Amino acid sequence: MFTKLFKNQLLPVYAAAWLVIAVVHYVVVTTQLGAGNMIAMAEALVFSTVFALLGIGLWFLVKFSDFEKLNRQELTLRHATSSAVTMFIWFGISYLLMGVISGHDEPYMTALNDTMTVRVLSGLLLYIVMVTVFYLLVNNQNLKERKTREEVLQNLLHESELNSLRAQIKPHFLFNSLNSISSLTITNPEKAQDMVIKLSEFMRYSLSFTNDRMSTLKQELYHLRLYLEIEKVRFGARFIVEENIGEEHLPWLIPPMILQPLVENAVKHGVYDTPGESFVKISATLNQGWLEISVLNNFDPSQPGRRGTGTGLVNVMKRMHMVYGMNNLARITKTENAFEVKLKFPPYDSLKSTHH
Amino acid sequence: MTVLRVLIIDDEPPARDIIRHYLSEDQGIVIAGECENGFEALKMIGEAKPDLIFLDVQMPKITGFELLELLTDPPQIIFTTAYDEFAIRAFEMNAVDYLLKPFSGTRLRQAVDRARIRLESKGTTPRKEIEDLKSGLQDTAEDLDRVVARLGSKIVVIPVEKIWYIEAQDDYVMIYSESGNHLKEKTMKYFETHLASRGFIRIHRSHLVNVNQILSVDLYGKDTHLVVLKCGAKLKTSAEGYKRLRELL
Repeated sequence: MFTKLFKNQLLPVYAAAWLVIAVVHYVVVTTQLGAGNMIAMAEALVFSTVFALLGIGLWFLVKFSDFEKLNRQELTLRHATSSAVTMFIWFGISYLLMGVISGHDEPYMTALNDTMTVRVLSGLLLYIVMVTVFYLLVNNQNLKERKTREEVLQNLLHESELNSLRAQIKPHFLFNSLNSISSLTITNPEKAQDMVIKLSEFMRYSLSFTNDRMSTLKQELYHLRLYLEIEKVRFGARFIVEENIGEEHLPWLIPPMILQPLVENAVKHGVYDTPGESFVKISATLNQGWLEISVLNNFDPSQPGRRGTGTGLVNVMKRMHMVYGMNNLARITKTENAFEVKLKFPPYDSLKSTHH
Repeated sequence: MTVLRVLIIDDEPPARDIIRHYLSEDQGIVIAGECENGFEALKMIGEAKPDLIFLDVQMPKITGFELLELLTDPPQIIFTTAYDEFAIRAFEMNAVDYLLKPFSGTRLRQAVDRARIRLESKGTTPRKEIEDLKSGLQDTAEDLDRVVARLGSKIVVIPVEKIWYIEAQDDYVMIYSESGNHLKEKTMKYFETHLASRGFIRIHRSHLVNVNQILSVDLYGKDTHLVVLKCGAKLKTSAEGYKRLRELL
């Protein structure tokens, strides 16, 4: 945090501002109180330094109090308290220090006591100015962060849009599906028609999905099923799909096409590469307000050396991070013959505050 | 007309159905069997001794190409696949034809006719014809991820990173790896080309070495160096080979 302050070059600016205030202080004290040179300088230094140090504390208070989430009363109450505490500490410490420095000089201490009200009032004014500036800075920083995050998100979405486009045009999936259709036109024309419709519907969704809005789990599942049913026609009885998702989870909002790469991956490493039966299990559970969706597949452990690009999974993780602004939303578990990817979707509240 | 015994190898049932359907119109063909992966196919080719096989490329266990490498006296082969990038390799392996899915009955009959001509003349397709087939198909110099070998009745699949080095032995090459030594009927040139981007270097006319397995390179004589591998093997370099090695390391 402090390094960030230095990096932002805010600290030197902050110090310079306090130097100016100290100079003003010095001038006021010498002209209005007629204090001696040395004592005026000491006073300016002590009062400014103490306030400046307290100000750093205020900076963090402002930065981490997340004022966007507080209502007006809470905010007023907080600053009333913090300003009173600040004034008390500021004046108290400065008073004690000045007592020591001046050697408890009687006339000076009397003057100090007499001017307490005006000092505290100007202190309050400084407090207000400082906190206002801090709020502006924090707000600005947040805005910038949000902007870069949104930019990155936009880029990623374009990328995944392209990827999904490519996924559809991926020759093996499209041509193998067309080959199945070609075969079914002879052996089972009705099923052929059914598959043409499924393939079209799946491709239409994949080609047209937009990233600027979230999709319901229900919608996503519908399209995942289309994809899985197409693969089922291709591989027949040796491909088994299990789905365990409660009705109550269906309205949950998730990023569109976020599960598709996981399921494609499961199919690729599962049924494409595994002789005999192969399964893909999709399940959803609610865990302390978070929705956890798991995509699990078995694979042939005796199949060494086949590469997966891994980019599909990496992109999913990137997208999860960009949408929710949190890490560790994906967990991969690999056992001897099964592979599972679990995505964790934060509760709705946190979604509202981070996704705009 | 002699009757052709045919085997259909594909992991997708509808893909097998359509081939079977097309073939059922041909009186001169008997379907000897169908299989859904390379292991099954290997067994069935040995038992049923087909004249012609329809072979998919991407399948569980071993690919169509890997299957071919394991056959000592392969039948005529017609590849059927959705991928166009394997075509050149298919013809290099002396395939009769390469059908891109989905294909028509007419196109399949053409391929079968071609196989018949070949079987009757007991020869290979004339060079000219291969060139014609090759044109219009593009090849992406494809890298190997793994190598399959036969160990008695067992099939060993060796990931390329587990290969220590490959040695030329007359018409064969010997593959030294974690899972033992395996003789394969391939050329050094073949492995040199397909393993180039996998970190393999031809350090000598008779040795292709996995760079990741090198422990040290020591001076041996005036112009030669000795490559010491983690497995303990010590292999001499040629001047040319040493130059290649230095460029990469």
